[in-house]
Amino acid sequence: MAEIGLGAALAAIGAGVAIGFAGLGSGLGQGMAAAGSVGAVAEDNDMFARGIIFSALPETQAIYGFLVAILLLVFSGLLGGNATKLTLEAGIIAIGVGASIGFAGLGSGMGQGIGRRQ
Amino acid sequence: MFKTARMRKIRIVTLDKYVAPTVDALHESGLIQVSDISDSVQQDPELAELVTPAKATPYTGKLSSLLMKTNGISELLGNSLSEGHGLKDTLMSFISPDMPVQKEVEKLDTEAFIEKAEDTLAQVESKTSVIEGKLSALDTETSELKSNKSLANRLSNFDMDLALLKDSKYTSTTVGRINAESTSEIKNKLSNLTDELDVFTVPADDKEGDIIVVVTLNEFSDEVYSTLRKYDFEKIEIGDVEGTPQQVISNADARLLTIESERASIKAELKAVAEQWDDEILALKEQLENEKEKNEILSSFVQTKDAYVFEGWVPKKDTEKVEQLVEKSSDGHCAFETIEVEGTDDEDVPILQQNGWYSKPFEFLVDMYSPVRYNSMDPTIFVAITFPFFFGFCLTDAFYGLFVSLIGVVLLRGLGKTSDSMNAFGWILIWSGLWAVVLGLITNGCIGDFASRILHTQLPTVYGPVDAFKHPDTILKIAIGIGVVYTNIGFILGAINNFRYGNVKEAIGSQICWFIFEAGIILLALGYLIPSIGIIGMVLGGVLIVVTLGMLIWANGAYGVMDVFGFMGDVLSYARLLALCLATGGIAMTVNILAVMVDQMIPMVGIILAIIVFVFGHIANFLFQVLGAFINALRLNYVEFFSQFFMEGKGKFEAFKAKRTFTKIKN
Repeated sequence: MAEIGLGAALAAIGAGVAIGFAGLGSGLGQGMAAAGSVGAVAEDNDMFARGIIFSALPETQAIYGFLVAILLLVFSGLLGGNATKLTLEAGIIAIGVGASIGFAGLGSGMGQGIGRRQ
Repeated sequence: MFKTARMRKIRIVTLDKYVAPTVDALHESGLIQVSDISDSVQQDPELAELVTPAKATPYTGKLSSLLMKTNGISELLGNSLSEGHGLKDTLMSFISPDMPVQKEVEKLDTEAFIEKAEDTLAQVESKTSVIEGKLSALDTETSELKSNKSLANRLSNFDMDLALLKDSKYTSTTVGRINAESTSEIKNKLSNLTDELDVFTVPADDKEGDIIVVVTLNEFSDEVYSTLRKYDFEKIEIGDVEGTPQQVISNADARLLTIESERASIKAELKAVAEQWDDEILALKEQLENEKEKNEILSSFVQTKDAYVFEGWVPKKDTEKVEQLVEKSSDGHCAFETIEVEGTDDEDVPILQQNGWYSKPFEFLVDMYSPVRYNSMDPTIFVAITFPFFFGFCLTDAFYGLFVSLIGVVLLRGLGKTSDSMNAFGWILIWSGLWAVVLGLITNGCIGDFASRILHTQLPTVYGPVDAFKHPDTILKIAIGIGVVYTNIGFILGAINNFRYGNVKEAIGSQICWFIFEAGIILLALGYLIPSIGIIGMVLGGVLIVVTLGMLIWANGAYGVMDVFGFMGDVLSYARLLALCLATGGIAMTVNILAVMVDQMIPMVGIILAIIVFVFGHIANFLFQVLGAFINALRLNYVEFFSQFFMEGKGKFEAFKAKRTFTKIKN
């Protein structure tokens, strides 16, 4: 198994936090929005396109989380590079970056879901 | 290509006696969308003095009732023909549906047609009503037998003729269920009422209660009943049942069996009638719908003492054809007025898209969103190019893509023959699947990593720098690049739309400013990356970004600055192309790993289990990923692209047109 440094391991946690929490926010948001959309489409078939739009909007948070996760993996050397060189400090920063997008995605995804459900 | 068909409003005046042939000719041609002018005329006092709203013909009511009757018979015959269809028949109805037979029908006036329709319905009803009567009698008998059987089951512990439990001239018999614990108390209470009664009980069928039978003189029946009701008494009604419970049950079972065989033979009789009359009834139904529509359309017209006036929308290229048709059918007794669509006053103009053979099927996707506004840009060609590409990018698996295209071909050759939307969907799947094949072959996606993991070889078609799992960063750059280009196309379309409708401020604040913003970003980046451009580029870039912010505030107010995040969000959203691309390959790879593990870890039957894991795993992945690719390809167009420019129109062009699926006019 290829060796990785502690910094890179922390960056991997950062990537996981980014995609994990942003995905959680998107999932909850999409669930709420889709529940409203399904009801609207059941009453009026013409609402199908809008239903898709409202249901799909909170998905963007997961994409942002994914984007940041990929960037963290690439810059830390975990994807296509040397994962042993990353410093401990850089790894901690990566966790901070991942946590910020993750929690922002969690909150805004849920918020969008609640808004779209109305 | 970018504009929908140019339309004209046409107003037609024709004499009273020519209105029927004129309506008939227009209905068969399907060239005009008739507008209801009866209300608008009422609001114009000058016109209201000259004309009055016309009414639907007196035949409309009769036609409606005949249509209702025909619908009922058609449903009965259709159900009879489709009864007993299994999974194979259902699949075949998708793959190779029966093509409707077009029956030649004569052109008749409404009165003669009604007479003919009544005659046809009478012939069919004479056969179906007898059969329906027999089926209904069997249904009634079945339900009666089941009810008797249920009663007999409840009284199964009685070994006596149930007919004895009926009331007689002088006695009344009350039968019901009571709680077993109350039995002795009830018997005591009843014996206190009178000596003129006989009470006996047997255990109920569920053993938790007792069935009580009280025989008394008629004069005591009410008192008996009110006494029993105090003890959670559930009365059991004894109908015309005869024989012991066991006899009732066995007789009912025997009769139910014979009823089933009788029902089968009656249904065979009905099927024979359906085979003989179904085509005729479908044709009659279509004719009735057409005739009703023609007779009802008059309520959208206005009339004078001797003439009718009506108006509608016609594609500009068909105006002459409509005029010739009306001239011919009214023997020249007509007048026209054509009204052009003035400038941007186009909110009420119906939309008729006119795209080429390739993009035509994708009108279906644009319509699902909304019809475009008359003078705005029709984005169908862009959707036709990008939707299959985005779908292919999200799926990125050659084998899955091939399967999607095959489904498209099956749809096209099956249901697509009878349904326009299925035909369009078939083409959409074919193109989308082909893109998935191409992109899958280039990015090393063919049943995941099947080639390298199981066949121990490499796909010769893979282009190394875009190998999805080795260089996701390259694919991310491509995805974002596509996002930048497509979003800019949206801005161009939006700016054109806004200039067409005179919304200059909107064009500057919502579209043009982003080109300046992008130029600023490029100069900043060049200044940072290329030392010879250096600070000059960075300053110029900074100035352009500040100018953009100024434009946003000028056009949209202070909160306009927030649009910068919206712009970035729209572009970054295209990263989903990479996300879905990796998801397909990742799950497919996991299935392959599991299959290999099962094969290596389990002796003897391992290979069979591995094949099962492989097949079902990939079927599940295929279904999820195709759905995800479809939704996300649609979303990138609906949310990120359309939001830059799309202007909604009021409605599609709905031609006043006779349906001719099951009928054709005899020449």
